[in-house]
Amino acid sequence: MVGIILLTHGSLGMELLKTSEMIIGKQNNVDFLSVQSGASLSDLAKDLDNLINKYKKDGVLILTDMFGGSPSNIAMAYFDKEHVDVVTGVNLPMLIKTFSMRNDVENAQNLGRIASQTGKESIILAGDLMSK
Amino acid sequence: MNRKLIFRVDDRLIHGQVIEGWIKYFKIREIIIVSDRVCKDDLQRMIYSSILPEDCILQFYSIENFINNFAEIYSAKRSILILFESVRDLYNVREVLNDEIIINVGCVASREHKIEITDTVFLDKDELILLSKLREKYDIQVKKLPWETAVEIKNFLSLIGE
Repeated sequence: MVGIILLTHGSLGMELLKTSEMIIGKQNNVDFLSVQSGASLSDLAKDLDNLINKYKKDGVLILTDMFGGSPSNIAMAYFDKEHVDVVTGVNLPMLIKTFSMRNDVENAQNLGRIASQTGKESIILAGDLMSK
Repeated sequence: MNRKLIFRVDDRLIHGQVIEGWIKYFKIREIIIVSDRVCKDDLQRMIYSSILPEDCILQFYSIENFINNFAEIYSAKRSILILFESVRDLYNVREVLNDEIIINVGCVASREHKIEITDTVFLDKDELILLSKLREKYDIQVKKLPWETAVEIKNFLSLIGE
């Protein structure tokens, strides 16, 4: 099973995990790391290193909150075609879909593709929906 | 608006505060990272280059090359955001500083024996000494975002009781 790491600013990752578990129940092989104001990024890189190692057998998908933010920048440095991929802009529908699909994919990159597509498709403007 | 030359110390270099804050606020199109470390790291250069808005140009300089090329950079008369990873790196280019340059200390991570200046700036004794030397000649704005009020520090050494 591909592992999942939520790497975000503040406690967003933890809260997204808690909220998704409210909807689809307790999940295994998932961790969160948070980047706080004033925190050292090299310490965080060490924690991330350890987590990625933990999942090295089946690979790991890192979900970050914002492309260009420091959590995302750190994660990108760990990209590895075989084992580690990164999806930015995590949201709740994306996370739930990622949890539900991870037994059906071969590797982190395939899971990441599903995640990024779901994330994009999950954003709807009511005005568009109503005027159909 | 006159062109702005901003020297910012930020150990995260380009990230949300820089992209959403400084680049947008001052309509910056040119960014320079001055770091011997990043200059040698292809992966880091690729990551930083990929996250900037499309109309921005990013250049990388070693400290030595930055000093040697500063006259040319300065004469371009465009707004430029120049990023340093550490107070020490900023201090090492002190010979190019002048009154037109905005000096900003934005993000310096917390470590043991550091003094909290703001929620994103933590400085140790050596860093305070270097900043107090720069402060003798120049104004230093400690703040993470351009629209915030800077923390005004006249005497950095007073923070360590000297």
